[in-house]
Amino acid sequence: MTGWWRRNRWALLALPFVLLLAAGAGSYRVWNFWNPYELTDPVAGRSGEPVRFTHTLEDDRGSYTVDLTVTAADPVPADHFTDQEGMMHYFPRSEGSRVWRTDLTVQADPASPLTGCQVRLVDGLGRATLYRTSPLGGEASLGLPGSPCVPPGAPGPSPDFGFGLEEPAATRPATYTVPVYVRTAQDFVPESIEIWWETPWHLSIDVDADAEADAGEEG
Amino acid sequence: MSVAAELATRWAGRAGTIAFVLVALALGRVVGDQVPSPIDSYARPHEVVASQGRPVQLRAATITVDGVTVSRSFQTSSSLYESPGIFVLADVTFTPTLEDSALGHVEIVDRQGRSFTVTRTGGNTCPLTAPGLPTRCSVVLELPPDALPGATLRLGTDGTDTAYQDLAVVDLGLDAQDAQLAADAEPLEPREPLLEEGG
Repeated sequence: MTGWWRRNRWALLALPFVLLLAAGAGSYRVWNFWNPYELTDPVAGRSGEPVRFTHTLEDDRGSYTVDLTVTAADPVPADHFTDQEGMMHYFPRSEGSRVWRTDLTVQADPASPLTGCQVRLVDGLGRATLYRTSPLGGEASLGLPGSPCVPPGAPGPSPDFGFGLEEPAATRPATYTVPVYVRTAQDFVPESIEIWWETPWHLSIDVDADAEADAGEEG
Repeated sequence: MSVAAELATRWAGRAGTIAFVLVALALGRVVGDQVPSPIDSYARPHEVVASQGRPVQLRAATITVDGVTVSRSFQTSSSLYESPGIFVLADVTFTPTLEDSALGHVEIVDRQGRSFTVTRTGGNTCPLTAPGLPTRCSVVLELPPDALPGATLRLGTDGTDTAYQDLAVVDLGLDAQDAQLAADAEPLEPREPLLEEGG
């Protein structure tokens, strides 16, 4: 047997390095198949302070740039929302849940396409809940916009994905405030709000939620 | 020994070696085809067997089957469905762990291996739910009466493709007698998790 070890000694010496090299060569999968699809590249900020976010994306006409400055308020509990017509709707209640409202004040060039953002709340345990209208229930899926970063009445330009959508008539104001409602578990206290158009780049704003605030109050 | 004889012996030996290698390759192939593919075994759903009333911890959520009832009909907020077979309703409590999730895979498998899924509108009242939020909801499936004995309910969070999923597998505890009970039972009423009542 010593003969075999002796004959293969160089290969045996090289083996640990070869194994390391093989693992390293496979590590591209983390970068190619995981990293780009998760929120791994944040622009950080704090509630009450404006944060600038610019992100160049592609549509059918080429590239366009999302460019905005966001100031997030601290999340407060909410029991209702007001739709575009000014009608007030209560959120249906469900045992063990509550709805948080986080106001985002946005400053942006009215020509910058800002539609199609996604927003989620993250708590101290790493739990994350997306802004979606259907879990809010009741009138929310009809009365709230599918994407919350632009005012529903004047969303401004959209990226062109070849759907032939007409540009909306109303010009988006240069500064506006939109509420973001998210239904979470009762014991979920948001610690940050994350906003993105395309992963992995995103805004991550630390917030100081006020769980004791009056849910009925209009922000 | 003549040169020709020596060559013949050498070639015979070589042919023997070649034959041996070919037979070894063929044998390897036959054995390899019999062994299950490693991909199949990775992709097979991970089944967590539990009984009714016991929480099952899956990767994305904790699921409890609270109870099972059977009837010939089932009532949603908008319609009453009647079946020539049997509706099986399972009350489910569903709590996502870290991310929003829904009860994407709902299936009953009977003793013969037949698979039944939700076929009627309103047959799965479990909505997309936030992490940590227990949702009390129901699933309703329609089976022929002979599928009841020994049928198991399989629940998962990731949609109908069960590859790589973990599934809660719960024995429904039904038998032939339940098929008769179903004939006289009241219409099933699925639980609705959101309560429509204002402030």
